[in-house]
Amino acid sequence: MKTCNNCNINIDTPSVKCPICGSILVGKDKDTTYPRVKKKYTTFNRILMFILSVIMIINVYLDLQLTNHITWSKYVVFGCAVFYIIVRSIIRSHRNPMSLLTGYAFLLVVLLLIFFWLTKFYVITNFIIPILCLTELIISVFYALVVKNKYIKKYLSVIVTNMLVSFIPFGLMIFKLTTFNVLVNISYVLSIISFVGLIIFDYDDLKDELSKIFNY
Amino acid sequence: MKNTEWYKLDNMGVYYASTKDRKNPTVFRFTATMKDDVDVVNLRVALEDTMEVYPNFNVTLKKGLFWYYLEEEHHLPDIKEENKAVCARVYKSEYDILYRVSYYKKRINFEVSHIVSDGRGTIEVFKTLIANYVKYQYKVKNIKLSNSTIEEHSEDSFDKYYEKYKKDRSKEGKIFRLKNKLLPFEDAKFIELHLNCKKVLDKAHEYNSTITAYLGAVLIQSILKEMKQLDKGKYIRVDLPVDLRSYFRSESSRNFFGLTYLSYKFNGEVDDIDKIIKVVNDEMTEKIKKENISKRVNKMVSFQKNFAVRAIPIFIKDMFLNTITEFVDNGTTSLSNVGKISFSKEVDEYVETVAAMISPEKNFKITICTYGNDLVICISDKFRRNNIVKNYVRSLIELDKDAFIISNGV
Ligand SMILES: [Zn+2]
Repeated sequence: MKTCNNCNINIDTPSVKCPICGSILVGKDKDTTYPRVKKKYTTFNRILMFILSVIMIINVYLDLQLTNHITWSKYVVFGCAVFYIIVRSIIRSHRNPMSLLTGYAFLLVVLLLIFFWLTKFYVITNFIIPILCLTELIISVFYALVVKNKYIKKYLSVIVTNMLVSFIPFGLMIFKLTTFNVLVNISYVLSIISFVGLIIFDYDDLKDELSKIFNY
Repeated sequence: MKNTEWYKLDNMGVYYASTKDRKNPTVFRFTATMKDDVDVVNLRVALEDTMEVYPNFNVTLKKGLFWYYLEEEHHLPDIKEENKAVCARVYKSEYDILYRVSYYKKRINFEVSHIVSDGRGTIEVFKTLIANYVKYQYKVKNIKLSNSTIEEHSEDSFDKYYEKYKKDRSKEGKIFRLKNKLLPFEDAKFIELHLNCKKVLDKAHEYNSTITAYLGAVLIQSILKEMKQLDKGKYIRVDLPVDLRSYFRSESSRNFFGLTYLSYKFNGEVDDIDKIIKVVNDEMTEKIKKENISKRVNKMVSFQKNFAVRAIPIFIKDMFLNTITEFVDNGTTSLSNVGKISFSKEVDEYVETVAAMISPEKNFKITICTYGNDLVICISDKFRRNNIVKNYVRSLIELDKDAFIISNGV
């Protein structure tokens, strides 16, 4: 043990300073009870944020210098923000592929809708969104029924996803934002079928999960 | 797929679950220093045996629509050599089991998130772990273990002893709060002060007092010395968690504690220890009466029982609990005596010291436990310079010339 002559007490610590008064300890000890813990910084997030910020600032600056207006730089800023959200979400839910998949499908649909709203490009609502929803649906049903990964305990989230997925193309059709309805119809009919299927085949799991999630 | 066991959170668990993403979630640690270096293989087997008895500890936190819930996990967490800060965050995602077992040289550390249990509730689990370890490591047979059933220790005692809501409005003046430079996140300083229990007890008896009251009084005195003239009108409030198992018959290893406090106001004269102890003694006897304690229990439970509150989605409850407790919750500091920790005779032989500690949140916290004649006062401290701790430790060292300190060296 080391000693603090100032406090007049024996101290067992990996530090060279007294934890009470901060003065330098005398004596030496090989074995301390506590290990010297290396600091782990959460630097990755900060570096990512810093790099993205630099890109955004330089872009806005160049844009203003060259054109006197904010023109193309706003797309870069938007892209950086989306990139940041995607990277963060991968880190956060790498152990839950289902929620990651769902998150991306939604993000993509929202982006596509914004794009559609700006361009009125009917290929998006007629084909791209329904196909995206169908793919998401098939993968999620496959995961829930076949893979049964230990992390996919939440059946309900799969079902809720399915329902929402089914209503996006349906909603588009209702608001007359589509001109070609075959894929849209396939998409929401299949969603309803898979929803019914999950209830029939996995009723017990579903009931169990509902009682947990709705514990009241 | 096998259906897993799950639990509703007790009402303190609800609070700690909602505030889990704060910078300093409450985690406490029990640690035992064994006779020899720890063998990780036997520790693993010991942990397996322990979690057979306390499956309600081997849980992860999941979010429902209205409340969080705890879900039993079928695998155990890895046991690693200590490589994290003391009482580091246990909950990171919904897949993390809410306790951690680590070892370093002779020490076995058991760290538990407050979401699962309180200090006193964890002791039983910790004792079982150490007893099991001794059983495997030293081939000791016939160790007597706790004989409560799984139902008993997974019981929500708050729920069981809840009575009709009685309002408790205790009026207080302004509370003195510490402001100082904080150490960076996860870098709390932990100081274990080991004292001769008998010497401290004798001193407490001199003042017709208990150990908790005496140590509380010394703490108040240490704080008084550091108060500036401007602050002297404020109350010093030392929060005092009370183990409710000693008031109500309960074997629960989940949260079951109440909070009371000691408050003291400088009254213009020189405040010597005799006078402080007198005030503290009076307050302790009054506050720790069963009626007064149950008032506080009911106050906490009523939140969870309230029909309207229950129907609010969890994310709104989260926001609510995170904002209000920010202002309401804390006193000047807190002092928690988890009491005597004892093993059966066969186990005692292989255990040198035991200590209990809690993460300091924003300022500093004191946890006291006794093992044999070793009184361990554990101070967890977020401040870079803390004269209160200095005063406190120095006045306690005076009682015992052989006192020593073990610290994590932050
Ligand atoms: Zn010193």
